[in-house]
Amino acid sequence: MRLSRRSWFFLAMSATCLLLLAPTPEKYRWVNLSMGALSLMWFILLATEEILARRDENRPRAGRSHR
Amino acid sequence: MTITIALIVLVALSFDFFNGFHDAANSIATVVSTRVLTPRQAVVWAAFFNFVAFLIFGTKVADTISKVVHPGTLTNAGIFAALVGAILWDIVTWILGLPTSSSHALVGGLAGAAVATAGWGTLVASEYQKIFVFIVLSPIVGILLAFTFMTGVYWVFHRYRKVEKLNRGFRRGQLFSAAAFSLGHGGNDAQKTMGVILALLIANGLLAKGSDVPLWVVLSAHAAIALGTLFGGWRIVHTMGSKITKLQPVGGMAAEAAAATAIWGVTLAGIPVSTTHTIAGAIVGVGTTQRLSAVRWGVAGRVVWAWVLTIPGAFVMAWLAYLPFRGLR
Repeated sequence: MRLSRRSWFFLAMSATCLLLLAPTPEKYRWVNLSMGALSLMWFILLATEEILARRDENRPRAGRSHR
Repeated sequence: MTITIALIVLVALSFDFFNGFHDAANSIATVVSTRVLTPRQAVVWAAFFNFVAFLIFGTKVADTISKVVHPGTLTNAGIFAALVGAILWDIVTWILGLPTSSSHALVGGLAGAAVATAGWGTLVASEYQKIFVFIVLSPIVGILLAFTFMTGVYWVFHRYRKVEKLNRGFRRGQLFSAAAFSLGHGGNDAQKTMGVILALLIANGLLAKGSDVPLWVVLSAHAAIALGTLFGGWRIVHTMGSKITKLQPVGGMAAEAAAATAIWGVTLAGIPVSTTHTIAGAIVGVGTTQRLSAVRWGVAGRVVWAWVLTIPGAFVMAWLAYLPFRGLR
């Protein structure tokens, strides 16, 4: 399934937040976790929107006859 | 001795002035580019809130900055060289119109001077680790919060047809978001100079180890940053306000509100983030709500390169600035 660059951008940000978890001091890890979760949420929402929009486009329109 | 210390305090306050001058763009770029305020009104607005920030924030960030090198490592000449290195880097990036972080220039300057004084072992690795992690995290926080705010605003108002009235509301809202951002900027950035002055006073035995930042240091640091903001840095306003992405009042408000939220949060937690990185990230976040290509990635990439080079650049300048003073205490 092809997704837009914007969706991948949010997934990449989420991955970056998680990758930085190890070098982040324990006291501040809540920043990585909350931002990683927020970014992942946007990735899921944007990807779902794109997939649904593409499915609607591909669906044959009602009322049109096929000869 | 006292004259030397007074001179270094003056250089530290000059750095704070340059910080305000260089970073004024962060506070006012969006209000100026959306024409909510004239440039002159905008700088007065930002300078006022830069100054009154001392009433709200503590001095946790000042503590972090004073701990980036082992206590007692930096001589007076070293602190002087660190400040000169940071100021020079700020001037170079201002000439190039690049919104780099004055805070990171200061951190790089302190590192350069400390290494020139007593070698690599003087750097406190854990403090640098924290700063490097937040160089990457602060623009991400800006992007995500701005995208979330902007989407929320679209979601709430998308059926509202009175566009003119709505725009008027957002323009008014931008005044508050710019004020909140300037408060955060004053709170976070003025504290970095306070940290340097605190380290200087402790190193010279004028204050006991673990002392709080004296009130005169707090007031003079905020006054210097506010004065710098008053003089403004127009080259960077252009990069931030129109080159990265084109902003409407609603986008300007969302970017500033997001950056202000992030900076207030981290300042209260004592994390020395770059206000520049956060607002630049927030502007990208607003652009991303349209589509990824609404952001001019070429300009954004140039800005990111300048961020990467800030600490090494200021490091080298401070190291060079220290050389003529080698041997002095």
